[in-house]
Amino acid sequence: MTMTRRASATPVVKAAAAGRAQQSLAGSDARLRYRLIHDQLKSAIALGRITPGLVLLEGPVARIFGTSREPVRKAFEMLHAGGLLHTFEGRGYLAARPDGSAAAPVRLPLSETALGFEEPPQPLDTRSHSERIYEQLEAAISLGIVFGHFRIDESHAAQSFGVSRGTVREALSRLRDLGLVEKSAYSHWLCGPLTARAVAEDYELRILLEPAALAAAARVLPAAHLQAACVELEQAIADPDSIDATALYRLEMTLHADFLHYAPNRKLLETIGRAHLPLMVNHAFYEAFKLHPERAMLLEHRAVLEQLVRGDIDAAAQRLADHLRAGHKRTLQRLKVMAVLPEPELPAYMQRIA
Amino acid sequence: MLGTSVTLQEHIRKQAEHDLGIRLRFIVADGSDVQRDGVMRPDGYDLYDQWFHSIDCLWPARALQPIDVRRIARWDEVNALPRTGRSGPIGSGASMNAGSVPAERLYVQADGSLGSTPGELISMLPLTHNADSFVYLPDELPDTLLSGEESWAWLLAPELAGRVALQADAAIGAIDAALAVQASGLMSFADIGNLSIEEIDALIGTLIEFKRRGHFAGFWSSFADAAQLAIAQRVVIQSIWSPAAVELERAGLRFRLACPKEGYRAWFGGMSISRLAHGRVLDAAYEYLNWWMDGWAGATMARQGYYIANPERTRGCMSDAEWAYWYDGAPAPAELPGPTRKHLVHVGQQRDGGSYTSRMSRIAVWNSVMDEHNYLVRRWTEFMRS
Repeated sequence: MTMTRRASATPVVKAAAAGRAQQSLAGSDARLRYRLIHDQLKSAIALGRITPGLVLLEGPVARIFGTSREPVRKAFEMLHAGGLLHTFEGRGYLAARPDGSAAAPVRLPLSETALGFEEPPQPLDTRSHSERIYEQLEAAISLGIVFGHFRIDESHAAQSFGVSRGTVREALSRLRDLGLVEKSAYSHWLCGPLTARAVAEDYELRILLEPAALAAAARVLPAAHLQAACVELEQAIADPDSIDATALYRLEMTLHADFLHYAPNRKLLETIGRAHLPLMVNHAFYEAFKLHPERAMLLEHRAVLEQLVRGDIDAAAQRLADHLRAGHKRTLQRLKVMAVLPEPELPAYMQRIA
Repeated sequence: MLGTSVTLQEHIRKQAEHDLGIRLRFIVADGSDVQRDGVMRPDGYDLYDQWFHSIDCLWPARALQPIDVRRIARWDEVNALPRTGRSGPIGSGASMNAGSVPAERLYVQADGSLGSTPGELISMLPLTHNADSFVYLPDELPDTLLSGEESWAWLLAPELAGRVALQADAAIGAIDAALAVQASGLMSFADIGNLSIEEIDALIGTLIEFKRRGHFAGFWSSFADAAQLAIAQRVVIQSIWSPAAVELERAGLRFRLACPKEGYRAWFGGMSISRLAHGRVLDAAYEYLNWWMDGWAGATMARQGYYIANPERTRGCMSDAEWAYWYDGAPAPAELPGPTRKHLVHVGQQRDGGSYTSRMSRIAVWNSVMDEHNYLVRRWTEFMRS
């Protein structure tokens, strides 16, 4: 059985879906979260409150902080770079001694006490339960479909989130609207596997629609927004090594979501948002390999922005189509690479079918 | 040096250390582990020694650095097959294009991607190659099969149920299986080197049926395992790599390497340099690449049935009798040595499949990383687990 994964909750879709909370996937909010986690763990290690050698895993630490794994991963990377976490022949990181030296692995259940907190930290996420569950499901499923075909166990998910099945069902229904999951004849929630064909279909749609949306948006695109994007892009071109996967995703979003969002046709934007799966593949790819952006991709973005600055809307739309065609080729190549990756740790509510 | 047991062999390592005055460490793993480490851990190796089709996984992940052919002294000796995809008289022009053709991922293009437009930078130095098929024990096959032409369909012949083995690697094993399914008339593929989702689903469905009926006795991921299947497990027909045939020879089995009427599945091996190699290590890497083209390595490869990209240079390191047997496909004029042993080939013995040119001009498909490779790998894993 094949499922075509068509969409994800990119900002375009979110903005277009009336009455839904508008929030940026990678906004300042997330940045703040990883900082907080980093700072708390850093002081706990430095004060000797964490057993040296304690094996730290993303999942459990995320649960303790009441957040997704993304900011925890980022915090771990920073702590590792700062010498307070060490890698070892196993999954996760080892807490360093207060002086930064390495200790032998110690495996203990991870709890607030094990992480040196006197009281449980305040959940970092203040968003509503259902919103958070929606995003966590979306993140897990977007990653999982690269690695196969899964059934999502509704009651298991409800248990692991500590919410009712109704709440999970609601989130899954929203994801079904986006084409990320589907419901089988036996009422099972299914997702994946991601195929080259699904990626190709998304690009075909984007090549048809995004230039049109850009042309409509360009007439009302505020000069200040364009200017800010140009500055950001030039910085990235000057120093590509400063651009990690998250920053790259931001750059992509600026052009493919934020700019297009100025177009008045909501239905058009909604359709485009449902074809943004390739952006997720690329994000997962850059994240997995800790890669910095390719110069070609940045130069293609620049070519679009330059035309917008000049006010040549047709040429800008043309450059955007060129960029999408090149991106199509690159994304298909990246999808092949994913085949050799070891399977990531996925939540237990995702049960492998194939 | 990261690679498979096909080329990472102790006698080669010793000879290279002796000739070059450098120290070499060989990290040997099976095909898919080599690809995974190749992609994910460019800090774990300086040279990557594997197949051209795997470049499709390593290059986009930026695990490799381009090789500058100006530093490869014998680059001009490399024959046309890897450089242009053509080798002398080609039997079937169209079929040469099926699968991951080496020439199409050889040259680094201006935008950093790979293509066939020649330049001075390449992704992988083309070296060892062959056209593969399957091996069978003629004494164990019924006359109903032996009276016809050799065909990939034999791998699925009901008469041989329970005595068939395939290789486990998706990029290679699935193509052998697809060739067999197509030759049996069970399915036909629009492009056997680039299957669609529906074709993959149908192929895997068919294979799972055969597996449930007990058709397959085993799956192998190294040539040593393949040889053991025939020697110890009563397997009488299986897809095969050449060094396994050497093992069968040693075990005294009477076997034939098939020359299937549908053509061979071809592969090209080579070496690439890790993105992180630099300075003295990089210099040593180039020395080792150049050493491979000096003739000695090509000769030892020939003695296990493989060809090298610059055969004329290797000819000087082989006796005329060896050349006649291994490259010309002629009956052995004298007793010939193997890669590490004195006696491998008896007088009068003849290599299955004929000369270099005749084998390499009967390519049905190259080993492939298809567009739907990720999907194929997931479904293939399902078949392996079924």
